[in-house]
Order: sequence, then structure tokens, then C-alpha cells
Amino acid sequence: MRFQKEDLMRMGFISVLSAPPIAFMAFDFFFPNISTPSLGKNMLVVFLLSILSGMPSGYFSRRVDAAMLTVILYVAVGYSLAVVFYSAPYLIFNLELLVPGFYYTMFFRFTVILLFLFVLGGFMGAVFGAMVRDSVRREETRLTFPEIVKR
Amino acid sequence: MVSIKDLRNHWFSTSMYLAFFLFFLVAGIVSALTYGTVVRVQEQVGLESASYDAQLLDNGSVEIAFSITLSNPSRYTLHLSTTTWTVRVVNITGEDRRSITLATEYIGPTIGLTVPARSDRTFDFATIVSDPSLLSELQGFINYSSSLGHHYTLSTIPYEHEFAAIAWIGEFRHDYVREGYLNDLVTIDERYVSGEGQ
Repeated sequence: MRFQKEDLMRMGFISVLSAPPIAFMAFDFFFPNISTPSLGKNMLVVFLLSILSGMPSGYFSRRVDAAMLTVILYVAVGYSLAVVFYSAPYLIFNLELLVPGFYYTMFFRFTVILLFLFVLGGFMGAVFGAMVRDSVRREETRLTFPEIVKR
Repeated sequence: MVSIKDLRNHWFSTSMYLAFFLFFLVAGIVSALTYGTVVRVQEQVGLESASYDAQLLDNGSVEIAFSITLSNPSRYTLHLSTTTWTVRVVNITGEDRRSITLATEYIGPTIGLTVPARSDRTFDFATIVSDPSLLSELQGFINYSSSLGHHYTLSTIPYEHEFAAIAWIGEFRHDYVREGYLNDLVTIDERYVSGEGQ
């Protein structure tokens, strides 16, 4: 089934808003001593935050496939943002980067395992988000139509 | 875009989501700026105003003095780990010893010296070479140089001064065992050798 324009807009919106946690966690994993606040390379905390980051995609999306695709999208956007953070000395402070290939390969090698965690946690979060949304809707329906629900 | 009606209906979830987004966005930007600043500190900190002198004393000994300034224009305090000063005479004609080491001064990590932010610290060292065996080696160097057409005295020998300072930037953690690059990131390693680059 094709995505409608509204679905795509929703996916884009969530991809942008869910990206900063991914970017921060990837950057913090590489530089735990200078980032603020630091998660201290605690993989459990990273995984829990990944689940939390995935919840909005399940909560705000009406379709499961859209929610899953949104998770992959925001992980990609977030990781790209982490690379931008990682390039800060050379983008903002105009310092000279001597061996760019080695520099970026090092970042990728250290953080590639996190991508799996982000996606896995994101999928789990999307499922939880959808469950929360359904639960909220049931509650709303019960409050709106108390007579019908009682019967 | 997600419709305003949607967001209004889920105002609590939306507010929490925006707070979550903003928190990590700000944390990411602050961390990236800290990273940039720390990398720039590596370029800003430097050794400057090196000066050295040698004087012949009345009793035949030689007094050698050395002074250098560690400049820290950054906004972080530098915690000095070690500083070393070595003065030697390089004697490339010697078969056994390529240099005659006259004095070494080492300040270890327990001293706790700091260079506060946006300030300089000057290190002054001095030694008196009075050991007869060292003085005779220096005299031998003078005699040999003289045979090659270079006329030196004990006070005009080209003494080579080597100074090294290792310091940690600010209060950043620097005791990682496996992740050596994290220690390197917040470490200043400055070296000076007289005559180099001249």
C-alpha cells in the first residue's frame, strides 16, 4: 500500500524530532569523557533510550510499516547528525583535518554496533508506542461513550 | 506535517516528546562545542620565550640556566602531569657516547602544578656542573672542536636544552585503560629542543 502525503509528512516530522537522541548517544559513546551529560558507555541505558526514542514513531503513526520505516529514517538522520557533531572542530573552528578517511572510519568502527541497538530498540519502542496509543484511545472512547462501553 | 489537531489532542505526549528532543539537541550541541574547544586547546597551548645561558664560575664550574614559558590562552586549567628538562652537549664524534648529559630535572605527577586558564607559567631551571669527570669531557669536546676550527669555551659551548611538559586539560577524565584516544584527546604534550627549527 502506497504512503499518502500525510504519512510521509508525519514520518519526516518524527525523523527530525527523534534524531537528536540518536546523534547524542552515538557521539557520547565515542567521547564519553567530554560529552555532557555522559551515559558512560552504558549499553543498557543506550538501549533503553533507543526504546524511548522509538515510542513516538509507534504513537504518532497510524500504520505499522510507516512506524518501522520511520525508525530506520530517524536512525539514519540521527547518525548523520552525530557525524556532524563529530566534525565540529573542523566545521565550526576551521581546524585542519589531516587524514579524513581514517578519522571517519574510526568513528564508524567504534559506533557501528550502536546502529543495531538503535534500530532494534526503535522497533521495540514503536511497538510500545502503538500499545500506549491504543490504550489511550480505548480510555478516550470509554470516557466519551460510557453508556456504550458499559453495555 | 503532523496536523495541529493531532498535536493538540495529544498535548501531553507532544510536550514530553518536544522536551526529549530539545534536551538531546542541546546536549549534543554543547558536547560538540566542547569537543571543538578541546581540540582547539591543543593548538592554542604552546611553549614560548625560551632562553638559556651558561656562565663560568670562579671555581671552574659552569652554571647553566634555562627558562621557558608555557602559554595557556584557553578557558581550561591545565593540570601538569610531568615536566622534564635535560641539558646536554651533543658530541657526534664520540664512539661510545653521542651526547654528554650534564643535568636532568624531572617533576613528577604528584606535585600538582597547574596553569590556570588564560595565563602563562614560566619554568626556570639551573644547574652547576662541577663534577671533574664531566668537566674533563667538556674540555675534551672543546679541544676536539678547536682542532676542527670551532673555538668554544665552557660558557659558549652549544648546550642543547630539551624541555617537555605533559598536562591534562580541565577536569576531563583521562584514565582510560583501553580507549587511549580519549586520554590523548585531553592531553597536552609540548616539547622544546633548543636549536630545532632555527
